[in-house]
Amino acid sequence: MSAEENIRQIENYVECWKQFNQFLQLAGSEKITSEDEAQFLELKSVLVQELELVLSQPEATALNRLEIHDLINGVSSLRFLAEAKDDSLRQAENQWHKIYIQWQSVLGQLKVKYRAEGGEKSGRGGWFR
Amino acid sequence: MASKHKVLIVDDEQVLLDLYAELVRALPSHPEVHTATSGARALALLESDDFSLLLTDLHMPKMDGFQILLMARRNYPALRTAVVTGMADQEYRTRAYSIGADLYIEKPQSRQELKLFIDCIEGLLDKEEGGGFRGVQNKNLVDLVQMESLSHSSSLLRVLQSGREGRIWILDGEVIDAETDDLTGEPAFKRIMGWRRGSFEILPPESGRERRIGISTQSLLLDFAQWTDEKTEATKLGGHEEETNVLKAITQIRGVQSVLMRAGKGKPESWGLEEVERHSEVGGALIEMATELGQKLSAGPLRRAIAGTPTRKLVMRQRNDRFMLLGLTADTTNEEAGHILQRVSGEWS
Amino acid sequence: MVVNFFRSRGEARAFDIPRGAFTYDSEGDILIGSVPTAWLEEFGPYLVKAFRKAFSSAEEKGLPLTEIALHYGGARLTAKDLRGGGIVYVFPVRK
Repeated sequence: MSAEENIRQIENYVECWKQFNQFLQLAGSEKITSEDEAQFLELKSVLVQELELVLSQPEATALNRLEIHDLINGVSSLRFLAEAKDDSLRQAENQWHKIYIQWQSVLGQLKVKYRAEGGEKSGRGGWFR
Repeated sequence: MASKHKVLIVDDEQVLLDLYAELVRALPSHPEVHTATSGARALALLESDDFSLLLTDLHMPKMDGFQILLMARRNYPALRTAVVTGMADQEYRTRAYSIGADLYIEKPQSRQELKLFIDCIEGLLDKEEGGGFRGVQNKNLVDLVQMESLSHSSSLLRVLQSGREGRIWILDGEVIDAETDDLTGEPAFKRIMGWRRGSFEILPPESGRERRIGISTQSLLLDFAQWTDEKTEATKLGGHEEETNVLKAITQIRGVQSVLMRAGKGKPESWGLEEVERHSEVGGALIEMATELGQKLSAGPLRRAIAGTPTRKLVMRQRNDRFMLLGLTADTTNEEAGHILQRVSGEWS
Repeated sequence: MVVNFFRSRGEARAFDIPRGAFTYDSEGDILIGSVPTAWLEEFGPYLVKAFRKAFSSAEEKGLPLTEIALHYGGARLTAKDLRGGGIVYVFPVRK
């Protein structure tokens, strides 16, 4: 897989990871519908599967698979988070942010590598929005 | 030759600003760095040039980082945004992400954190210099006022157009006065809002401004939309009075901000909606796409289509040749949107 | 297509609406999914093409969309734009 494809894949993963946080914020707002719960469950499933793809990249070794799994497994449902009396939501957000920063760092390293390989001369499109 | 990324850094402390500028200039992609020591200056720079990334501090006098983020998010959807702050506060972080910041990172304190900072900022820049294209910058004054209103801001909005100047005073999210040429109050507001191109600046609020506009901002914006429609449709107005009343009645239903209806390929009728043709076209294309998709998947008849935009939710349906689109607040859930549509459809039929 | 490397939750009849989600990248390539592979191979590219076109043409017309949710008699489809890439949720509706 080319560096450009690797970047695309991680960018996509990072965007999905941001979706996870949006659901956490939804839990904080307590405005949760059954559709949100269903989507959240599917998002977790996609995140776990896609994780295996992206972790196969050498730059991603800094990320701890167990940490990510712990976070995803720990949030069994949005309702659970919304109704939890302890600070589960806060902990989940902290953990999410820590991992998110690591993803951004991996992405930055990959982009530097991509440029070093002369990827910017390929003439293909970058981000659309 | 490929152009460099442009990064805008905002911090009210010049020493820190210089330090960040130096760090960012030294990134492997060597971006072009611009700096601003205030929110107003930052917004003026964003207006005048295409930036790839906005880096902002949170605590600044007059306009804080959250306000800058809100404006940037709304007006430049393609712009990447990062908060760099000394505040390790989870509440701030959550708020920044909920506004749509791409990154919330604490000011680096060690060599290791510096490396992380550099990697993360590089990660936010496009992988290909000069590649891709920026999204359409969907700016208009109605959105701007709407956003100030929703965020309960107090500010003075200064609008410039071809040598003309307009001022709109906003107090706790309510428009209290406007002034341009020889007009004040509502007439001035309408004239300024009618300007299609220009620049704006958000200035700190002026205390003691006399209130000349007594109605709520939402009503004011609705009145403006109606006034615009009436102005452009003046010749046809007589024949459409009844339909206009129906549309107006629909927007009285809780949660409905605007409505658009169209029969066949005819001209759309609307209430409370800006850029009617644009909404009609996008909505029509979406219904067409959804219908084809439904057939391909054997998913059954299309009941409704819901589209989310950064500022509102649009719910649509088509029955025979009649198309209807409702503009709802952005926080309306899809479930609520369905109920509202059902209710409106009931009254409509 | 990357998705071929992964098995999903069991095969469904090609034309049943499954329950799940899948992602695609900014080039429109499907990355991974929790919907049955056979269904995804049959309909995934068509869905991606349709949603990408809808997002990009709305943006070109100056009305950028972040999400499109389609409610049918027998299915609910929701696509969320992820800066060029996206995630599509598919759910059957019991009649």
